Amino acid sequence: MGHQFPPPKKSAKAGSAPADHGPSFDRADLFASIVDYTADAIIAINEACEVEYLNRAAERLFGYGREEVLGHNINMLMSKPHQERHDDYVATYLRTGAKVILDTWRETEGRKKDGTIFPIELGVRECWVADRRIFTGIVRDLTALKKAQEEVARKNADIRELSTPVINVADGVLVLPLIGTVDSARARDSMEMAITRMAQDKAAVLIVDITGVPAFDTMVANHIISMATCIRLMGGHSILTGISPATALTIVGLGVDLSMLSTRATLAQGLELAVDLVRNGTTG
Amino acid sequence: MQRIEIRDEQDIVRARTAARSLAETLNFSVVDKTRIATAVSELARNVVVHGGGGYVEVESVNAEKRVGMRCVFVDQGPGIEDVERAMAEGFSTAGTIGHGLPGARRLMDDLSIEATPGQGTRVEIIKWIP
Amino acid sequence: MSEAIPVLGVGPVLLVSIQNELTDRSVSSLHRAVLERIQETGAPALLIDVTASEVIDTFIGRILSETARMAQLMNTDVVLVGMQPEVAITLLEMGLEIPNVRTAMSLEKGLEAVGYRITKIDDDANPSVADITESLGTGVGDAKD
Ligand SMILES: Nc1ncnc2c1ncn2[C@@H]1O[C@H](COP(=O)(O)OP(=O)(O)O)[C@@H](O)[C@H]1O
Ligand SMILES: [Mg+2]
Repeated sequence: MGHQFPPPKKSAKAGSAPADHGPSFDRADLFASIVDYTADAIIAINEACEVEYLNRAAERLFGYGREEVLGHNINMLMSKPHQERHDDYVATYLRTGAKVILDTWRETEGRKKDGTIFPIELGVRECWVADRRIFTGIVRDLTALKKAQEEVARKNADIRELSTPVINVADGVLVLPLIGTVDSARARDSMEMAITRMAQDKAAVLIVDITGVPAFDTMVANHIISMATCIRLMGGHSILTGISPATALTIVGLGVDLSMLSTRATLAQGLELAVDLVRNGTTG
Repeated sequence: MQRIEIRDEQDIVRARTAARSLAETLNFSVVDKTRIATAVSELARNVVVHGGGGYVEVESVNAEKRVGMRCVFVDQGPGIEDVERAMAEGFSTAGTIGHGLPGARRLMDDLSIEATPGQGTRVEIIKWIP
Repeated sequence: MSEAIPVLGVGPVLLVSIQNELTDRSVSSLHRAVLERIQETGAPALLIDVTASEVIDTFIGRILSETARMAQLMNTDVVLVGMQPEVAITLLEMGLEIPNVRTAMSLEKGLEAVGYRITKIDDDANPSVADITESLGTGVGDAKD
């Protein structure tokens, strides 16, 4: 149904995945539909930076109808410095083959039809379709994540002010930041307090943030696991955040089984998950 | 000091209620009150199931600089042949789960057993106010 | 002299509330009471409400686990509801974890977890049988971590 993206032909270079099984048109149609309806925004441009295709998520994200964008320069979707320079970026690549953005994910900004500049994550790949060079970009909206991160940064500041170690950050979500060297007694106290607070506040999720713990050892791990077990018994959820690469290594090295908690690298990500859990009511 | 006869399961409820209300007057935390009531429930049940009945004495204790409470369970049952084994996780001569004694020990600050085979068992538990 | 634990029907869902002053014998009767009601009604779900339980020792804990497991064998979804934090802490220290049973913080959440929703709540906040409706295809059944 009028997909502008050329279906893969059987050329040597073209996407080899759909191969030569059965009626290739059906498969191409299938893949085209999948791309069209996928949740991430996908945009394809040619060497002249003209938009050859954008899927429904991209229309939604940028606020344009398809026909307003097709054939136009992709830079209409970009924010200031990139908007002017984008043609040069592509030209330089075509001349030198030096990859700057290709094959990586990077954070940048997008520009909506109404002029709103918003944070995005962008991944661009090069592919050949029927001997034509096409660049496809996958665009993810980071607005919600950035907002959560700012929120967390602000709450973090509050956290440092407060003497009580358990903070109610959102409806139904508590955060217990573990800071400094955690001795057994202190861990037990703060966890008992956190669990009790959960019941008092009717909070469904407790986030334990270990960003501030310099040494994550089996003792800390065991306290966290015990606490998660209690929270499960109570019908709540626990999320462990602030896991640095070093901590992740330690966890694996010690053979600690944290499968009873959800884990996230950053407090912001943990908060996102927590809000999701509370909102979708999937909290036990 | 309060002494409660433990003959049947109704007495198990009585024993843990008595222990809880003393813990309450001594201002133990909510979690500690629950730990004490649960340990008392376990040991009172042992008196009924394994010891053939007996009693418990519940009292507050003042020692040096500490305040706490003590419960002593006494029965004239068969005693325990191997106390160390009875304290082990999952050991039971009754086909039950055998977490009573080791569990009660973890919940309290102190648990000690005197048991003479053929003459009876005395179990003492103490919890201090932190 | 031991009172039996009542097994209530809340719509199609069965509900038992474990009260604090129960003797061992009435707790033991839980098995049979629940299983009989499941057989009679073919209830799709059982909520075990321990909100009012101040003490769950190894005996009660074991009965709860066993009852849950038996109900599950009869294809009934089981949710343990409302365990107090101090009880959870104590259970864990005793070495009991009641695994393989789903949990919820409140009756409302427990009902949600087995696919029912309270659609109306009376002014006195007591949901009645008529207020429980099945919610379709919401995926709320997956309440575990
Ligand atoms: N009062 C008692 N008199 C005699 N034996 C006892 C008594 N209390 C405990 N025991 C022994 O210790 C074992 C372990 O007790 P416990 O840990 O409470 O587990 P359980 O009660 O499930 O058997 C019992 O099986 C019994 O053999
Ligand atoms: Mg026992």
